[in-house]
Amino acid sequence: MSDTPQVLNLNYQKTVILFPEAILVFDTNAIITRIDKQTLTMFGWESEQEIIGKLGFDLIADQDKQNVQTAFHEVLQGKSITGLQCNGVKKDGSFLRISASASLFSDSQGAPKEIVVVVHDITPHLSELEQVKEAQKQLAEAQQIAHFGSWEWDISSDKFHWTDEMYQLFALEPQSIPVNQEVLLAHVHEEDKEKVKNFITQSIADGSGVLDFRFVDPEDNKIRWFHSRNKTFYDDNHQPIRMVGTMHDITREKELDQVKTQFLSVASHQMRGPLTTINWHAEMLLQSQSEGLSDTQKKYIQELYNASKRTVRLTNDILTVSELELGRMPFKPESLSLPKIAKRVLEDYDHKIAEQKISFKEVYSGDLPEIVTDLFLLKTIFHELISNAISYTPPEGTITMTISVDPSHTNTFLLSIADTGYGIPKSEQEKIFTKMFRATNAKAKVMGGTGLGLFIIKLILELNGGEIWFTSEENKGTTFNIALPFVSSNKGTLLTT
Amino acid sequence: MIAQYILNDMEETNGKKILVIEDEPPMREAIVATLSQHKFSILTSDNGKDGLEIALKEHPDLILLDIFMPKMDGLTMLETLRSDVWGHDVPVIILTNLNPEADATIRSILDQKPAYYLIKSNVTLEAIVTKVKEVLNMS
Repeated sequence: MSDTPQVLNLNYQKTVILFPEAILVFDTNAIITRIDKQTLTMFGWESEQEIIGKLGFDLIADQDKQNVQTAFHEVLQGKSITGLQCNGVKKDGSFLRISASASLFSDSQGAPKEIVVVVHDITPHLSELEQVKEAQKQLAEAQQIAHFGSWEWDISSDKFHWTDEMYQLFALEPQSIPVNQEVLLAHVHEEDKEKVKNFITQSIADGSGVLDFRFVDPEDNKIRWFHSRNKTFYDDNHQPIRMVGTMHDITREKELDQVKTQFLSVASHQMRGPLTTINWHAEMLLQSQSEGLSDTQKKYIQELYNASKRTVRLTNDILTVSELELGRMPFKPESLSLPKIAKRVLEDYDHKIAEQKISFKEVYSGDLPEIVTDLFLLKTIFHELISNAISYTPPEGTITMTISVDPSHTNTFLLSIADTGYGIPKSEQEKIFTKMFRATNAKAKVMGGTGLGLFIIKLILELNGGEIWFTSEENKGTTFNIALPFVSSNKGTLLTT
Repeated sequence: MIAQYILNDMEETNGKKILVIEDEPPMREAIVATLSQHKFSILTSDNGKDGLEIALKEHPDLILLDIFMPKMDGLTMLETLRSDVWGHDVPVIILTNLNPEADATIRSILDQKPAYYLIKSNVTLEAIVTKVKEVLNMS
């Protein structure tokens, strides 16, 4: 290799670190005259003798021969070639991907003498790229099958990247237009637009978020439901820099869920019929004095009557949940006095409060403005809270109901009901608003609960504005707090999180 | 016509005539038995169509009306009743197991006063009597 020019050695030092590099020298007829050791390794030959004297194009795959010949002639004209990619052929006939650079060297008279070619084996690099491409293809196919899109939002530059399926979900040709908030919101259901905007802002504040919203397909005007989840990433100064998210078409799930809810609604209505017959006849039996029923028989009938009444309560709660979930609960806002409604609901429990010797305290702060909300929904909130407090407070306990204006939030009422009852075990506190969930100590002490009361309150507050939270200690008591806006909104549809 | 007129001895009644329109015999009989105990005279029907005919002929003081019934449902019956001069003002207590909140038609019909609404499974027979007496200013 003593004839190899100095410059090639330098080049060799630099690039060998990245990729295997071979050096070949050709005469003007493209016959190989000299090679380095790496050439043997790269092309799978055993000795220099095997390869010297061969036509250089024989080391090139058929489909690339013509390109390489053209390039060789250009080099003969004095042009340098860098990074020409083509497929090489090894001795055993297998292929490798190479990148070649070539320069012409002339003799002392200036006539073309030989061509030096530096070849890099880029096969490993390429296969990595192909693997990435393959993985991307599989991901795209999976997303398409599942109607599942994903997206990324670079917050600082306000640039969105959507996967192909994201475009498909939003009824757009994949990668056809740059995405921005306008594109995102264009066909979101009018009633859900504000919700989607708030969702993005809220996710930046909270770090993540989950939202179901409606999309109106511009092609057939049909409503589709999308389930969206996202996560925000922050820099070291806690500034949001990036948000990634997924979007899932859950229209079918929503439809099935509706069918189920409708079934529950119909079934509950149907159940009320026979329950009414049981109740009324039990009532007549218990009230007739002349029928000659023994005390034991009366006691048995009373048990039947109690069980039937419990079933009615459960049926009613299931119906309320169904109506709320179906968005069929009408919302007729009117001006109402909170203490007046509270007192009216409380009347239904006078008997129970007296029976259990509970001391029920009412604290209404003066100058309470009227609330604008739906009467039935407001009464439902009071009913559920008051009956819970009474059910889960042992005899001679105290319940305090307070209604005031929230000092820390404008135009908001604060309603709290504090009891000295059984409390909610710490380990079960996070599940307390879950549908049909009942705390273990509650189940042990009170038979009639449906596990739907707090879930109903939460549904109502989600639909009409407001919040609920609580503090509780086992065997000390529970305080439920509710924030109610002066004027309730009607969001109409449901957020399921 | 499967209408039935429970004839009470006039001397034993409190002078108020109630029409009970309910298709399910056990419920109808329970209501009738309870109202009888409170000395009301009672007319009954098991569908809206016959009930309407009896109402317009007999002019009861109050009507207890179910909604889901054969031949003519309670809401259609009420609508027709309200177009009659006498029927326009007769007090009606709808007695059903359908949630009034969930049905816009029911809500709008409830606006045609005097009409009241009780959910059967949620009320006792005693509460029905109390409501009847309250509407008739007897309490």
